[in-house]
Amino acid sequence: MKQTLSRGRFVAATAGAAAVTLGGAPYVIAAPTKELVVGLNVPQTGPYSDQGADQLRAYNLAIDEINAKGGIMGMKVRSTVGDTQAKPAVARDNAQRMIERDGAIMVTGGSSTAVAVAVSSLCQDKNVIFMATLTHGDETTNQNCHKHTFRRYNDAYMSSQALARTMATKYGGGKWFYITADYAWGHSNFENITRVVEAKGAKTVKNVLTPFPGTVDFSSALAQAQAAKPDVLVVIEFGQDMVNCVNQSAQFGLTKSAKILVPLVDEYMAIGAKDNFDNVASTVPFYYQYHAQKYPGAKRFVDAFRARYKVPPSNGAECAYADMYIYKMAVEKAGSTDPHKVIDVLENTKFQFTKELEWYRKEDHQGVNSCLVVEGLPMKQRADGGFGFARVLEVHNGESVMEPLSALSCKMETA
Amino acid sequence: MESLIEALLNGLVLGLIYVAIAVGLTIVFGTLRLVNFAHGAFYAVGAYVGLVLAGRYGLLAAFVAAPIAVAAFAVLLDRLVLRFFYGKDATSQLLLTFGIALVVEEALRLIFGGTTQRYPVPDALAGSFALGPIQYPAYRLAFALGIIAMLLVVWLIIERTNYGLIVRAGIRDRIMVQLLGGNIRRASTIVFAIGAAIAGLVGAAASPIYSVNPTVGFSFLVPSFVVVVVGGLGSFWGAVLGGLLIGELQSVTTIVFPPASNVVIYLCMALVLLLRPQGLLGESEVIRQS
Amino acid sequence: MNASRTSAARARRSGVLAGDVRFLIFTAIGLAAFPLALHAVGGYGGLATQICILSVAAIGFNVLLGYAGMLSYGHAMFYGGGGYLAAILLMRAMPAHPNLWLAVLGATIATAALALAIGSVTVRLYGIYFALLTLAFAQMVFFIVEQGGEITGGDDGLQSFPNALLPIGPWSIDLTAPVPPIDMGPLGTVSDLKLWYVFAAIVLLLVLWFTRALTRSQFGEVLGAIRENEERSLFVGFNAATYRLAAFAISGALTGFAGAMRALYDGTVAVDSLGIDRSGSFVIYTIVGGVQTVFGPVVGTAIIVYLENVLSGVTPLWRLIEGLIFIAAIVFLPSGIVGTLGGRGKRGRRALFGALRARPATGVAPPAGPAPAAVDVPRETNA
Repeated sequence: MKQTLSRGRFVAATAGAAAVTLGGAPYVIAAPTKELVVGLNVPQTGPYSDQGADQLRAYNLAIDEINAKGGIMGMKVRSTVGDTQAKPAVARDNAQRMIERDGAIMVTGGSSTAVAVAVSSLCQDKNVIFMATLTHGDETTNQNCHKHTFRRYNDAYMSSQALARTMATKYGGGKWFYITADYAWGHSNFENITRVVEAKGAKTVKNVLTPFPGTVDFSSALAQAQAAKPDVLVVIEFGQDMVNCVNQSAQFGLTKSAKILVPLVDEYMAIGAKDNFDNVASTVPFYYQYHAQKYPGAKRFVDAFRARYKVPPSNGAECAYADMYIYKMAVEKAGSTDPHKVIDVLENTKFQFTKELEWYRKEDHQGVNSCLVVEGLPMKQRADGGFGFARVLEVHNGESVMEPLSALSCKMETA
Repeated sequence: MESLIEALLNGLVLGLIYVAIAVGLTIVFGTLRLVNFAHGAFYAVGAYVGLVLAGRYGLLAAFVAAPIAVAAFAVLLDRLVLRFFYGKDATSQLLLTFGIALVVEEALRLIFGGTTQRYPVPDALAGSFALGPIQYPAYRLAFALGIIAMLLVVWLIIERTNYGLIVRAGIRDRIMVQLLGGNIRRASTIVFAIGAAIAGLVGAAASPIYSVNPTVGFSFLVPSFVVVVVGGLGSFWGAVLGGLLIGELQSVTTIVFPPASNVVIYLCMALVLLLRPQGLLGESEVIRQS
Repeated sequence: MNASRTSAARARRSGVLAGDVRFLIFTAIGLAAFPLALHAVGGYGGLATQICILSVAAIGFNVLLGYAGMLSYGHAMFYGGGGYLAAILLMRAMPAHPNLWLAVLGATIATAALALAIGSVTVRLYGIYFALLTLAFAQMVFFIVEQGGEITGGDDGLQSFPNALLPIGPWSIDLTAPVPPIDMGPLGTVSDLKLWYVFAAIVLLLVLWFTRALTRSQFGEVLGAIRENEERSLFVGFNAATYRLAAFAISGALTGFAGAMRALYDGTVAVDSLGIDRSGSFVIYTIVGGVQTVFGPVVGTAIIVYLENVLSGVTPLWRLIEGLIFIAAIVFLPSGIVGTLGGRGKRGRRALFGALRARPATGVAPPAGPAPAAVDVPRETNA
C-alpha cells in the first residue's frame, strides 16, 4: 500500500514535469518590454454576461485605438481578461491573477457592487488602480471607498435623486407604491426617492421588501401593488430581477394602470423587457442617441463602435471606453504609471471624452457627471433593433444630484 | 384578506410549476434510481424552444414543440451516456448530470445571450380576470388549469397503461420486474423521456410568467428537489402534494415575513427529513438511528 | 480486539515510522516544487496558496465522503462559516492585536461545534437523503447570513480586516512578506511567492499526515467497516451513530479551518463562500481527484481550480469546457485521477461502486441477508 502511494505519486510527478517542460513556454514571464498591462475583469458567464461582453467590446475598441496612436506614453497597452461570473470571490481571484501573473497595473470592469467592493479592497492592497465600471451601489465610493478606486458611473443616490425630482413634478401628489430588493442598494434607493417625493406630497402607500437574491416570483408583491391601485409603482430591483419584475407586473395590468419607475436600466434590459418597458421611467448615465447628437466625442465613439460591432453601445460599454481613455489621460499627465501620481492627477483634473466636462470628487472618487432621466419608447418607435429604447425626459447636472459630502461615511486612505 | 387570496393563488401557480418539474424528477428517481441534476436543463431547453417558436408561430406551436424537442434530447442523453449510470452511486450521477447541466446552460447562453428575455403572451390572455374581490392575471389561471390537465394525463398514463404498470412496479422492485420479463430497458427510456418532456412543457408554459434566461434551469432545480423530498421520492401524488405545499409556503411567507421566504422551504425540507424521511407520501423504508 | 490482526496494526509493528517519514518527505518535496511547476504552466503564487487551502477543505470533505461514505452537499456552510467566524473574531475581538492563530483556532472550534450540532440530527440519514439534508442546512445558513445586515455585511460581505500576524515563539510573522525570488533558469523566475504559501503548504502537509493516520487508525478502520456494512458492524458492537457523528464533526472542523485560513488570506469574506456552488465544488474536486484516496482531493482541487482560473482568462467558453470535462471524468475515470493512477482499474471500479452501494442511493436499509458487496470487514483503504 505504501508502494502504491509512492508509485502513484511518482507517476503524477513525472507527468507533471513533462507538462511543465512541454507547456511552459508561453507563460514564462518575459523580460520587461514596453508594455502596459490592464486587467479586464468582466462577467462573461452568469446573469450579466451580456453587459460584460459589451464592456469587453468597448475596452478592445479603446485599446486598439490607443495603440494605433502610439499607446500610452509610448507603451503598448496589452489586456488580460478574466471572467468574474458576477461572484465577488472569483473576481478577486481574477484580479490577483491579473496583477501577480500578468503584471496588470490597472484593473477595470465589473457589473455589480458586491464584485466592485471585493476587487476594490484587493487593488488597494496591491497598489493597483481600479476603475470600477458598472457598479451602482453607493458603497463603492462611500462605506467601502478606497484611495485606488475611481467610479465614474452614476451611483444609486444620484439616480434616485434625479428620478425622484423629475417624477415628483408630474406625480407629486399621488399614491406611490414601492417594491424594494432587500439589501443595501435597495434601501438606499428607497430612502432617497421617498425623501424627495414625500416632500412634494407623495403618499408612500407601502414598501414591499423582496428577498435578495433569489426572488424569481414577484407576484406576491405585485398583487399587493395591484390591490393598492397606486399612481406610481417604483420597482427598486436591479438587472435581471428588474426585467423579471417588470415583465410580471404586466400580467397584473400594472404597466397600464400605473407609472412604473426603476432606478437604473441599460439597453440589454430594455430589450429583454420588450414592450413591457414602454413608458417606464428610469435613469441612465449615457444614452447613445442623445449623446452622439450633442457631443462630438460621443459621436466618434458610437460610430466607431457601430462600425466595428454592428450594434450601438450600451451605457456600460460607454463607461468602459471612457475609463480606458481617462486612465490614459491621467498616466500621460502624471508622466508616470506610478499609481500615486496617477491618483493625484485623477483627483485634480477635469476631462471630457464622451459626455460633458466631468471630474472625480476628491473626497470619495465618485465621478461628477450628468444623470439622465429617460422613459421607454413604445416598441414600434424603437430603432436599431431595440437599442434605441428611450426618450430623454430630463438631464440632471452631476453636482446637483450627488450625495453631499457631509452625509458621506467614506474614510479614504492617505495613500 | 385580498392579499391572502392573491398569495394563495400565486402559491398555486408557483406550486404547480414545482409539481410539474418534481413529477418528472421523482418518477425518474423512483424507477431509474437516477439523481438528475440536469433536470433543470430540460426546463430551460423547453423554455428556449418555446421562446423561439412562440415568437414566430404562436404559443400553441411552442407548447407542442417544446416537450417533443426536450424528449428527443432526453432520449439522446439516455442512449449515449445516462443509462450506464442508473442505479449507480449518487456521487457519480451527481457529477455527470451536473456536467450536463453546465454544458446545456452555457450552450444556451452562447446561442441566446445572457439577458432575461420576455415571452410573448397572446392578447386574449394578457389581461386580468375578475375573481371575486380580486383581479387575477388571466394567463396564470390558464396556466394553472393547463398544468392540472397535463398532470391528469400523466397520472392516467401511469395508472392505466402498460408502461405505467412497469413504472409503478419498477418503483417497487426493479429487479423483480426484469425477472418477470418486463422490457425495463425500453420502459426506462420512455419514463425518462416523459419526465423530461413534462419539464420541457412547463418550461415553455411558465416562461410567459417568469421570463427566460440561461440560469432558470438551476434556479428551479433546487426547490424541485425540496419538493421531491417533502412529497416522497418516487411518489407521484407526493410530488403533487409537496409542490403545492412548498409553493404556498413560499408565497404566503413572502407577504407575512419576507426575509424568511427563502429559508422556510429548506426548513420544511429539513423537518420532513428529520421527522418523516420517506416524505409525506413516500414508501421506501429509511433507516433511522435512535 | 481484532486490532492486532489488522494489516494496519501489522504495518504499525513493522516500522511504519519509516513509511510515515517517506510519506512526509515525498509530500514535502511535492509541495515545495508545486508553485514552481504551477508557475511554468500559467499559474502564480497566489493560486498555489489558494489551491493548498482549498485542498484542506476538500480533504475535510473527503473524510466524510470517502471514508465514512456520506455525501454532503452542504459543506460550504462550514467553509464559509469558518471564514465568517474568523473575520468576525478578528474584527471584533482582536482588532488591535490581530492574532492569526487565535482567529483560526477560534473559528475552527466554533465550526466544529456547529458541525456537532448539525451532525447530531443529520447523521441518522443516509445516501441522497443525507446529502439533501445537509443541503437544506447549508441553504438556511446562506440565507440567514445574507440577511445578516451589519454583523455579516449582507450581500457585500466583510471587507478589509486587519492583517493577522502569526505568532511563533517570540516572533510575530507577517505572512504577506515575500519569499525571495527563485530562478528556474529558462522556465522563468518565481518572484511572487509569499510566506502565506509556506504556511499553507505546511498546514496541508500536516493535514495530509493527519488524514493518513486517521484512516489507518482504529477509528478509520471502524469507519470503513461502518461504510461497508453498517449492519455487520453493529453486530460486532460498534456504535455506528457515534462514529458517523465524529466523522462529521472532524470533517466540518477541517473544512471550517480551511475557510478561516482563506478568509484571513483574502482579507475579505463574501456570501458566495457559503453558497451551493461552493458546496458543489468540493464534491467535484473530490470525485475528480479520487474519493477513497488521501491525495485525491488535493489533485482534484489543483486541477479544477487551475483550469477554472487559467481557462477563464482564455475563453468565455470555459464553463462549457468544464462541464464536458466533468462528464468525461466520471465516464472514463470513475475512481478519479488518483484512484485510477493508484492501480485500481477495473477491479477498483467494481469494488468502489460495491462499497458505496452497501448504502444504496435511496437510503433504504441494508437487506437483512448477506451484504450485496462481497468484501470482508475490515477493509484496507487505499491511501
